[in-house]
Amino acid sequence: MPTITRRDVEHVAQLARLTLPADELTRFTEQLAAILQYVGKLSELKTDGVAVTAQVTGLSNVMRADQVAGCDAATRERLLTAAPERSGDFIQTRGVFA
Amino acid sequence: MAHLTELTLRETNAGLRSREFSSRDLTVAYLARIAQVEGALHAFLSVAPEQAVARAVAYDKSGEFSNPLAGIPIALKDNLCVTGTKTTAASKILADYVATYDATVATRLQQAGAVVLGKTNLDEFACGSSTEHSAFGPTKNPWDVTRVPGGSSGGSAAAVAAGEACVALGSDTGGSIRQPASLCGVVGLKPTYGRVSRYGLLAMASSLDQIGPFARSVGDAAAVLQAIAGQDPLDATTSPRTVPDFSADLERPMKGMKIGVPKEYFSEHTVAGVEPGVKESFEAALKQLERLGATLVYDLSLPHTDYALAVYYVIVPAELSSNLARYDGVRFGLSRREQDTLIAQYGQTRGEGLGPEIRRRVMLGTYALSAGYYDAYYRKAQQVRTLVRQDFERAFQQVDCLVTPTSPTVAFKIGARANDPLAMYLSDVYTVAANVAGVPGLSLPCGLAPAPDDASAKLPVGLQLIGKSFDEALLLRVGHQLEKTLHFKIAPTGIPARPV
Repeated sequence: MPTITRRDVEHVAQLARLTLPADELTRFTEQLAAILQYVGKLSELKTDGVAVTAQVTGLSNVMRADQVAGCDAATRERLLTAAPERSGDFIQTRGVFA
Repeated sequence: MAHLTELTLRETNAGLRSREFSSRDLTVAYLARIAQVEGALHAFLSVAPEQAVARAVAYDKSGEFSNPLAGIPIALKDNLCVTGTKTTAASKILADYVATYDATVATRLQQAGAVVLGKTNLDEFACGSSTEHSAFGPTKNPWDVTRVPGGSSGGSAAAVAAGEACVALGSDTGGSIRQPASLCGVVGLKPTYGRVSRYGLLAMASSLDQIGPFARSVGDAAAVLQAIAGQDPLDATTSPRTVPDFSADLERPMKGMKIGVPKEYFSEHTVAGVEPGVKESFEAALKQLERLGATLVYDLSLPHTDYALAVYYVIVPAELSSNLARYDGVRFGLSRREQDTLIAQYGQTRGEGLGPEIRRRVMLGTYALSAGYYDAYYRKAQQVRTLVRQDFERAFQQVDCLVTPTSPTVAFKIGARANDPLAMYLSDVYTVAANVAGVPGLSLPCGLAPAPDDASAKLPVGLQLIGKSFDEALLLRVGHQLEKTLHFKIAPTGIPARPV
């Protein structure tokens, strides 16, 4: 298993959309290395040809009718009220390509 | 007569039916108990006294107490949505979030007539084994307030142990119901994955999360499971299987039953090491199981036990990092808007709103899922997950259920594991495998043991039963009969006695 560097940690913080202070980047580099070393024991096991388990329900393709469900005014108001910034009946945010 | 807040669910229901006391009397007694001990425990993040009393009064008027949960004061872990109430997951990022819908379990319990007293403390987003990772301060263990109650559902466990709620709900992703139940001396059940709807549970690791009850007796846990189990169109992972009557078989004798004691759980390789007091209490309970007619099978191996924890600590951060991507400060929750760009807003909102353990796990998960590492970590963990499941399938061809300690240790001191995340993760060594395999696990108190750092302390020890998928009824049956022979008394020593 590869070891994790501080540059990796900085890159991952960016992918995770987490702004972290410098001391935490340093601390996480050490702590993540220790945890990755521990979980690295998985590489001791031969798993060639072993199927993955993504879920354990035994169910597959659980479908429902593709129907539009209504939303009453009170629910819509609750949802909009939860937003940090709104403009009328819209949630307002900064543009992605600002 | 016992104080109202000491009674089991069953005893309470009998009292309501015979009009010995009303739901209002009960609710007022529980609220008084909360007022008496909350300062020492901090089991709740919010309590709603007026709503609770109003609901109890309405129940008293209806006079309908045939449902075992009717008029019963309960508590819900604060990662379960209840419309119009704060649902924080013990995170700053949701500190002011008011839920806009009801979790299915909340709907079902309220339909059964339960009175919700409040929402209980947890490790932030259910990540932890001590409730110390709550952004709003730790919960204390009612048996010794210098110790942790376990976690992540530590608030629910402490509340039921201390008499602040008759029963409670928690969620269990790797032991978060069973381990705190063990450390607080109450019963905790993690049902089979798919048995209980998770709609309205703030998702942590979606392929492992399951909701279940805390109670003062195994029979009570069966009654709560009855109320919340079953398919839900709002959670596609719920099973269409018929829900059995979980209380029907509780008294059926155990003669002929085979119970496995997996040898890996006691090998010298077990990373955490079992405390001598835990081992002694556990072995005494094994003797009782034999007296009850069960045959113990010691020649039983779950060869991938050592790897289950490593599987867990890849899958959990990976799924968590994905689930928590929704907390971006746009639609709800904390939002920091000082930055010029949207991406900088995301980073600042999440960096400030998510606590240290969550940031650590989001980082780990994002790394494990990132290009170049996905195969080495996440895919590999999913393959080993298959091997862990197969271990259980083979074991259940030999035995009806498995028995282990729930936790290798009794409750540890607050702060003892704070600076060593890996040591904290090892608290879950006996419980994670059941989640990885998706099978049910029940923890019940089996005795008291001294703490390694204080021989005079007497702290609860939990015993865990692990069963086949959808075979909760068998675990409840074994647990109920064992409970009757063990005579464990839930009498936490770290908090004031109830007023006479």
